[in-house]
This record gives sequence, structure tokens and C-alpha cells, in this order.
Amino acid sequence: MSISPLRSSLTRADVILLFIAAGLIGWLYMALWAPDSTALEVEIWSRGQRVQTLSLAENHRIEVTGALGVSLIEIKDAQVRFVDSPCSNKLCVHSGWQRHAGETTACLPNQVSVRILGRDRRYDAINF
Amino acid sequence: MHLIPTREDHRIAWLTALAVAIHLIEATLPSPLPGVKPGLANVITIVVLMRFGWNSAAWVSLLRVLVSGLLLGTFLSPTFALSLGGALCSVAVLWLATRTLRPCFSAMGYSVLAALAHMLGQFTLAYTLFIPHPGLLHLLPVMLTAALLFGVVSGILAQTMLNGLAKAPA
Repeated sequence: MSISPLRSSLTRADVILLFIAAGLIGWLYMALWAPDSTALEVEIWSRGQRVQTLSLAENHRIEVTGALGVSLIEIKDAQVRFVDSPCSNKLCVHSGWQRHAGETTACLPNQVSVRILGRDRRYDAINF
Repeated sequence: MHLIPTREDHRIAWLTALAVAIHLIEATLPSPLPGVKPGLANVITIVVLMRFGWNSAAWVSLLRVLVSGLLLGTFLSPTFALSLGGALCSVAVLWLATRTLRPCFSAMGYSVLAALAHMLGQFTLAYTLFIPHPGLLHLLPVMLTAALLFGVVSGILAQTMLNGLAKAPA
């Protein structure tokens, strides 16, 4: 069965389709790149122990004692970051604000890590 | 058992060979993101769809994935699963678009539909089977944007090819 007649130029349906597709993709950008509302809590670990679990909804500044000294962690506007840490490379500080469920930042020298929890636990990745 | 290939079988085989050649050439091109590539073999699927109908297009599309998988050595690997999932999804969408709607699209419309369906099918499979991480969802709009752009490019190529074929003697 062939589609006849063979159309040689854009039809109205083509144009409508292109607009709908572009609109849906635009909407997806807005929906998927917005801050994650399923991120609920922050878990703070130090030297292998869970130190605190805090709500992302409230603003906090917490001092956590790690292997080297005190790391300063800030929770603000449903985001979390390392403000300062007694490590030399400051990778944890440079990784900036984290806002999505499942995200983790850590200061490995100080053995302090911060993990955002969502409604359900997800995997970081699956390898096989 | 003796099978007698029909004229249509020969035609499907030739067109599949053409699509496989395009697929193989494209497989050597580097890609910035896994799963994103121009998908120029889609041009052949669309041309076949417009000239010979959905049945031939489905055969060419699925055989192309199978043969390319065998030749590239990805047969039954995750790559192959993603490729097959995408092809099945795009063939299904083309079926819906040609059988249930009135034929209102040109090559451009079918090409864009097929490209988007391919990407969505592939992405859904990757997300559910291989990497069920919410971070992957951030890539979806980027990948669909690429699919839309490449769908438009394939549509233009398919229409150009169809115009050339219309002038050539059958």
C-alpha cells in the first residue's frame, strides 16, 4: 500500500507536528531542568557514621567534625553545599550547590559526606 | 523447502542493503552523546514508506537493525537492544500515522515522527533497563532536540530523494 498522492511539499499537518514537537520539547526542558521537588532530606555522614538527617525545607548552617577538622555545611532554599572544609583541594566546596535527590557531595580528606534523599532510593549507576 | 523470492522480496533486500551501508558508515562517525546520531538510514525508511508503503518500510527498518547489528558485532548487546527498541517504536508510530490517520503528512512529517519515536523508544528502554537514574532524565530534552533536528534534516533528504525518483522512469 503506498501513500498516494505523493506530496512534494510541506503539508499543514507537517507544520502542526513540528510546532507541537518543538512545544513539547520546550516543556520538557522546563519540567525536567527545574529544581527537584522530590528531594526531601539531607543526610550528613562523618567518618563512616551518620551524624544528622535534616530537612531540605529549612535553612541551616552546620558544623561537622571530620577526620581533619570541622566542615561547614549550608542548607538554603532546598539546596545544600559545603561552605568550607579543612582539606587542601576544596573539591567539596567547588562542587557547589546540590539540589536533586540522589546527589552526593563529599570531602574525602575530612571523611564528611552529604547526601540528598528523595522519596525513594535510587541507584547511582548500574554497571555490567 | 524451496522458497521463491518475490519481486518485493528483492526490492526489500536491495533497499535494506542500502540502509545497512548508510548505517555502517554512520557507525564510524564520532558522537558527542551516546544515542545521538544523524540516523540517515531513516531517510531510506521514509522513502520506502512513501513509495512502497508501511509493510516494506517496516521490513527494511527492522532488517537494517538486525544486519547492522550482526556486521558491527553488537548483535544482542545493549547497543543492539536500544537500536531495535528505537526501530520498533518508530515503525509502530509510522503504522499509527499511516493506517489510522488520513495520510496528511509529507516525508517531513513522517521523518520527524519516526526520529522522535526512535529516540523516545531508545530512551525509555535505556532508562528502564540499563540506567534507572533520575539524572538520565535531564538528557531527555537534549536528545529529543537532536532527534527533532535530525528528523527535519532526514525529511528534507527524503523529500529530495523522492522528487528525484519521481522524475526517474520506474
